[in-house]
Amino acid sequence: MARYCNNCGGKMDEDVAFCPECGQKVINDEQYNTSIQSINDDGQGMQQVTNFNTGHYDLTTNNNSNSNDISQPGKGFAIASLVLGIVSLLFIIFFPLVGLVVSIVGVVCATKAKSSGYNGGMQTAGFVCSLIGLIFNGLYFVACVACVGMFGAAGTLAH
Amino acid sequence: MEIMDISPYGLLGILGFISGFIYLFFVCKNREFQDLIYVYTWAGIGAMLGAKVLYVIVDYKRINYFLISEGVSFENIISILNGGFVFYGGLAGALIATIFSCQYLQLNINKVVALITPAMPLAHTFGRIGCAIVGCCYGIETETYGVIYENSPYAPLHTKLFPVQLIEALGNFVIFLILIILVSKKKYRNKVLITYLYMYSIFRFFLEFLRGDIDRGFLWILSTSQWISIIIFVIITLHIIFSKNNSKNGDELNG
Repeated sequence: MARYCNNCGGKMDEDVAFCPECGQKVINDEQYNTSIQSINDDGQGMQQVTNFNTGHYDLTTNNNSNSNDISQPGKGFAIASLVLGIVSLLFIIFFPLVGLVVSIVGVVCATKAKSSGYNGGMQTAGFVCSLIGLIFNGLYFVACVACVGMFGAAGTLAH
Repeated sequence: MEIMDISPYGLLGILGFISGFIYLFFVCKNREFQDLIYVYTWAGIGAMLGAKVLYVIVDYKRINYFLISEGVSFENIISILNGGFVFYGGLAGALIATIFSCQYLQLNINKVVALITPAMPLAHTFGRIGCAIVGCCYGIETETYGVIYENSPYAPLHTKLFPVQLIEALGNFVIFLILIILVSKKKYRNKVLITYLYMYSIFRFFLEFLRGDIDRGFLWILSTSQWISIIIFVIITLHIIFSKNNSKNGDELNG
């Protein structure tokens, strides 16, 4: 099974010690979890460089990067986007306008999860569900152009 | 709402959006694609919003009149939102959304813009075919070559109209093909957006003379879209002149 780098998201083999893309040291799941517990502070605007051999953390401020955490903070957003995506799929039948809004919020959550560094199946599934919801709800929404007919006679569409 | 209510216009708009995904799938590497679908989705949402906003601005008089005469109710506002789209607003919205999502996801803006830009004329091609089917954005009356609408809520019926929507669809597709060639050569990647705006603004400016629909917002003898075309053309010409003077700096910036 392929793994993904926690720093850059690049694909890499199971047994490598450093990421071939960015050179980040690969950490296994155990170290990973302890690092989340240790770095409980909000990592906004901070890039966390972790030295696992000595067990101390070197925090360097970096204003350009706010999301390359080594923790897994986007998981909540990933779950939210999956739920919202499925709900928006249901709304296609009942009320497309609400479904459109729900699906856009779903895409927001998926994007947020991605920018937080969470890279997993759930976030992708949430994104895809929201996207399908967006497309089909939007289809109804745009579709109403032809059936409204209030501006119809004068010509509604002004491209 | 029945399934028959889905208009061909909306269907083709969505097809255009999906075709952009297919284009990105073929042009990007796997990892790039995983990033770009987010940016592209946001660009699509931004395009919808921008096109709608500009439509409301262009058509505010008629919307205002409609709301006063019919009363401000939820249904009326929804029917306005269902109304129309103005392409240049969509372009601006898509660009703004692309820039913001690139910053948010920390991607290389120049590269992303270069890769995403060709999806725009591709989606637009489908949109224009949708216009041609529904009969909106119709052309001027002609006596030689033209299409006759027998059953359209927008176009004047039983008259020969110049098929301006199909010409625009074709032109957009040609622009798309040219942009694909540019994207495939790394040397020209920085020029993709500029080339697109240049070609489309000129194309649209002249095509607008062949359009016969009335509600496009006129200032003096030129329509809103023609004014925007002129503005884009002037800005890009100035940009080209300016960047030629210090072309070395420009290349490095976009590396």
